[in-house]
Amino acid sequence: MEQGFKPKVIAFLCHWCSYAGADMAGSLRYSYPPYLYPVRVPCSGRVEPEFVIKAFLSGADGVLVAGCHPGDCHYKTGNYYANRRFNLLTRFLEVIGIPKQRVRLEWISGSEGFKFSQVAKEFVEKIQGLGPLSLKTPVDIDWQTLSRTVATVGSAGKLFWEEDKCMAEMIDFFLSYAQENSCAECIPCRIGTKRMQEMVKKIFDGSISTRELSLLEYFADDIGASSKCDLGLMAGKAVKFALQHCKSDIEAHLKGSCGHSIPANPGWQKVMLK
Amino acid sequence: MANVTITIDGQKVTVPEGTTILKASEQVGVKIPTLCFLDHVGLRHIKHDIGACRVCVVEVEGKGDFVSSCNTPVQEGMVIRTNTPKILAARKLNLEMMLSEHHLDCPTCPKNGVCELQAVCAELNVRQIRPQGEKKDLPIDDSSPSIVRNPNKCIICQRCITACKVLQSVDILELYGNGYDAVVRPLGGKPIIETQCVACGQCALVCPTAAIVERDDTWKVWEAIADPKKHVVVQTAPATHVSIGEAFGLPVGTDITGKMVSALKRIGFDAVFDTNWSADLTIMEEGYELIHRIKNGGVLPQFTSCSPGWIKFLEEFYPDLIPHISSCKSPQQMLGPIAKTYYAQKKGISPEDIFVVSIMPCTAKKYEAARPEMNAAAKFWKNPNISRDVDVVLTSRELIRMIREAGIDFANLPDSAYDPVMGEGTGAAQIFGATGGVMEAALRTAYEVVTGKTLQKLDFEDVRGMKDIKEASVSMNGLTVKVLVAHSLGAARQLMEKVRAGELKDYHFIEVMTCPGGCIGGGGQPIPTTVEKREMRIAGIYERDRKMPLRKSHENPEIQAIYKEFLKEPLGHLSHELLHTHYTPRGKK
Repeated sequence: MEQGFKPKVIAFLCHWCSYAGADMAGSLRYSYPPYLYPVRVPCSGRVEPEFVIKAFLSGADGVLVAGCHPGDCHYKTGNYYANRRFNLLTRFLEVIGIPKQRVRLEWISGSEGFKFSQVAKEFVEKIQGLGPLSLKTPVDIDWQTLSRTVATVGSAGKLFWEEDKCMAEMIDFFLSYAQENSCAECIPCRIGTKRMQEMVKKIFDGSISTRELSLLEYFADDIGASSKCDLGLMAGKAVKFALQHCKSDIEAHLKGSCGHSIPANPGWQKVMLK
Repeated sequence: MANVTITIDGQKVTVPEGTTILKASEQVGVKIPTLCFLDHVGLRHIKHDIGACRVCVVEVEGKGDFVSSCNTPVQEGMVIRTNTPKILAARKLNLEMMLSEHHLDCPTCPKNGVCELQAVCAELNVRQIRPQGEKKDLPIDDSSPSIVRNPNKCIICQRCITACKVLQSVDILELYGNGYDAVVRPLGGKPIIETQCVACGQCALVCPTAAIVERDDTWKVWEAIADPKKHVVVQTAPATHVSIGEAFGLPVGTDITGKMVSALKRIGFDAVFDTNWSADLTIMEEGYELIHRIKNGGVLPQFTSCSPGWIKFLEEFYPDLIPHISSCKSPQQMLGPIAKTYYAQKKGISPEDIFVVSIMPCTAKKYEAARPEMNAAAKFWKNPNISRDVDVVLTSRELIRMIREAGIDFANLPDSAYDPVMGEGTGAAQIFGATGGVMEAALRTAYEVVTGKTLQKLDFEDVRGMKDIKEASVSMNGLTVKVLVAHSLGAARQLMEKVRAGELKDYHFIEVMTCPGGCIGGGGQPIPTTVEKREMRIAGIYERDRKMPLRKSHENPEIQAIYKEFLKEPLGHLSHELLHTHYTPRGKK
């Protein structure tokens, strides 16, 4: 225990349950360390992974995310999203050097004042034990390096896989996602992602020619710039970056085998499909 | 309104705030290509700028992605490039994607030569189709007598949805599904005849490809003409008098009446009549009906009934207001039975051998002619072998195709005159083609009948023009007759809501035309039919009216003759049998 170390712990609390719970802790006079700074959000589902990362980059030593118990979310499913994001987030944090003990997800209801004070006390003590977070604030985050783990950047969402995921499978899945969810209004997304999907199938059966492969990248570049909304733009960019940076996965398929055959964590698929 | 200065392709230009990149570019000599964009859909205040086709994309400095210029407003200091190699390549590729799903049967396609997809591919020098894959294979919907849908030619520009939903407020088309399998279809995927579609054809008018076209019935006419037993007569709608010429290089709105008659004679019709004649007949019947309702406390306001899209609209959405509709048939449907009774008798031709064709600016007229009750002649003669009152309706576009097919050099034709008995029309009939025309024609006659005085000023300017709802009042013998005129079904719906709420009780007469601008903007008119063209055709209509020796329906000698020799008097027994009809409540409100 470092004497004199005053940790900064940011707590994202959902308005309907955990913030009320924190309030109740106060009115029932349950004490907890003053190093916890609550931030009220409408729902734990509002907490984006970026909030947590921004908190750390801004000087926090620990981040707590609390929401309603599963099944009790005021918005029905918000806390399920929080749950899934948290699972992904902890993996991502490892990559950038933040131990996962510095984040915690907890379900605290509006009447659980005592629980809130306990969780707060435990967590702050743990952070005190870990000491201040030493993180060189990155001046220039090298996304290229992260691209083995980060699937795509530059759209409304960020998605995460392990290093071992085959990128050919990734873009195939991505394009099905785009096709299933495309509003069908703009040409590049509606037709373009279908055409790319048809060509990616040829990667899998090894019949794609060099010309077709370069055409695929050309189409992806156009779709990633011409589409009307981020869905199409993201699909285009994802294929383009995958082809540019993960050539070995593509080549493995052309030679007849999948480069990396370890299946992905099932969690992220559920996020995608919802 | 603040001004904004931007740079387009190195040219500085200052435009009002809110101007789109597309419009701003026009000011510096840049014409950005577009495909799905439509500046006006029927009326000036309705735009279609959803940015679906991605053909009008441009580069904006500072933004990595392209933006669609048709719907992006300029911002102070924007630096725009419209023709970099990357942009030109992107536009081509986006078109190639459209072509990769399209059924490319251009030589046999109904829109060959007038297709906007063809045009923009030619303009942008598209020479290959690199994306190759699955083509659409959806069934063609030809359940409607008026329009045919081919979803395999659809580029999902959604102009038709804007026309049906926003302009006409009928709203029976939807974009259904996600991704490649999405289709524009009637609600619920039903065949169009099973929906509340009113067959107005405004969708066909805006469709850039052959996804929605009018039904082509020209083969039926060629067949009838070739049949030596058939006496084939044709009638031409008021709107056609100023519409056919523009397809043959003549200025929009040119009076081509004489040439049209010549062309029809050369095509092989046995007699060429003018629907203007029966428009005068309609005024007689409807004018007297209005006077009768006013005098005897009948249902007011009375609604005009010559627009079949409007009639179906009322039947579908406002069946409770059916009693307001005039019981008069449309001019087309009045001429048909007269041809198979009065005319047949006069000429000594068997009504079974008479085949009536009409040339209309309208797709809904095909639906109207097929309505079960439109067989008054067969009922009159008690002879089921007599075919329908109007056998075939051809749109202006079909007539234009027949003229081309027959190798007729339309622009250089001499003038010919209509045939007697049903060939004379007054100026009042001519203005039927423009919004407000039916109202004005009715007022010209009603005034003189009611007051017994001669009308000095024939032009009722208040009911003319493209404003979607117009109002006027005319004093007749102490009574102030209050009238309303609406065009486009969106405007009609606004009035119907008011009628239902009892707000228009002190109005006497309401004219509604389904199509913006009136019949000259009909679903069967030459494509493209822009707002500017509608205005030019309207000018042509009033110009022709001004030049006519007779400008009031009751002065038409052929009309006076038919009453003297056959009908006896307006609203008489024969009139009711042949010239009046009933309506069918349909659908949900």
